Amino acid sequence: MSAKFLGPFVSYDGLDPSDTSSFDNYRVYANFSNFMEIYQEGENAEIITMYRHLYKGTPPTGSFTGAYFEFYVIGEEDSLADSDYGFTKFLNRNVSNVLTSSPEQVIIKPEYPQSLAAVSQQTYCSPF
Amino acid sequence: MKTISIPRARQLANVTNNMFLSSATWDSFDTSTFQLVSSASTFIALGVQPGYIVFNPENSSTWAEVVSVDSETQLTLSGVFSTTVIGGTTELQRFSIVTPAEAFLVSTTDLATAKQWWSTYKVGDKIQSKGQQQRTLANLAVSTILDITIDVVAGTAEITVDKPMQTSNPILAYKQGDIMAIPVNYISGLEFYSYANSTSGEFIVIMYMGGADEYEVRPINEFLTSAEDVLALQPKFEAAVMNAISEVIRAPWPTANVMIEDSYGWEIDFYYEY
Repeated sequence: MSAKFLGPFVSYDGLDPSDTSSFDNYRVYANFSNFMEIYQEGENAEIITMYRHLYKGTPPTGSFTGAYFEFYVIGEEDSLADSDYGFTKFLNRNVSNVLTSSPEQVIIKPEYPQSLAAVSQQTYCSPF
Repeated sequence: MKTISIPRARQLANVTNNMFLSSATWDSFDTSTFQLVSSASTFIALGVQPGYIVFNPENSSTWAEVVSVDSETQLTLSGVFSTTVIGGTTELQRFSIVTPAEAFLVSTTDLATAKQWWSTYKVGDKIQSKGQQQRTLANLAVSTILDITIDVVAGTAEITVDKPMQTSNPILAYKQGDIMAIPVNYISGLEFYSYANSTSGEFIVIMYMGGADEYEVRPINEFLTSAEDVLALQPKFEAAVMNAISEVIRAPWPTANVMIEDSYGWEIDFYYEY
């Protein structure tokens, strides 16, 4: 499968997104071809990592690459333990969109369900 | 292997300064009468003549000729010239003046340099000036070589280009086919970062390749002075990168390269895991 990029995931680093005079913006596209795993770390579902194992070819270093996600829960310092905010489902849904996209589609925009928007003010994605 | 690329920049050495007036600042420029007022200038004492070329050293995509020297501080020009960086909104009040004989020349009086230019560059290659404040971003003040001559007795070489270039600041040259490439299939993710406050701003893309290996792609002169310019230029930067990725991945051949559009004036740094 050729490279396919899911994005952009937009993060404003906690600043006001409507401020056009002072900002700190991240717009991330993650390569989800050949992904193998969505891994949820911790019990509060804040951090989810996607690994993209590189079986073919020789990556410069390392045996896998991926993307690390942080979700910021609206109105809470920390997300509640054992709560399902739908973050894993959100990522699974979008990975499905990548896998079922046509060969002509290289960049796939993320789908944000309203239920996710209700609990998460922004998603920060950091590839590695 | 599928790659995206930018043209590789080489800085020219021993370039003769062709500027009659390297840099000045205008107080007003009337785009209907084409009258330029620069209160700090002394155009008559300096010897500015009709026919001299006036241009913005940050962006010489359009330029104007001096029609008349009205006073020490006022010129009437033949038309408008660029007063912003391309795509940007911040008005740049700087201008340069060069004689018509020198306006479209990049020259050297060093024999070894002349020989190197002659043997390396050809018609169609590109020349770029970094500009007065060295804020020349992507594809600004990029000219095409129309002719190149060498005089081995005098030890000089002249490159004729299609736009005025400010040669009092670094001049970059781009040889056709000489590129810096990034393997697309190994890109784990791309992070487009943009930042601005009231006095400065920048934008960049970091391409993660796995482990701690990454490419950073940015304009050579990455720092801007206004949030407006960041907001105007960053989307074009991002679109150019992502369009190149889409195009090369969709290419039917197993090996293909796509050059990022308008990427003259960009650079790539590679950081790797020790």
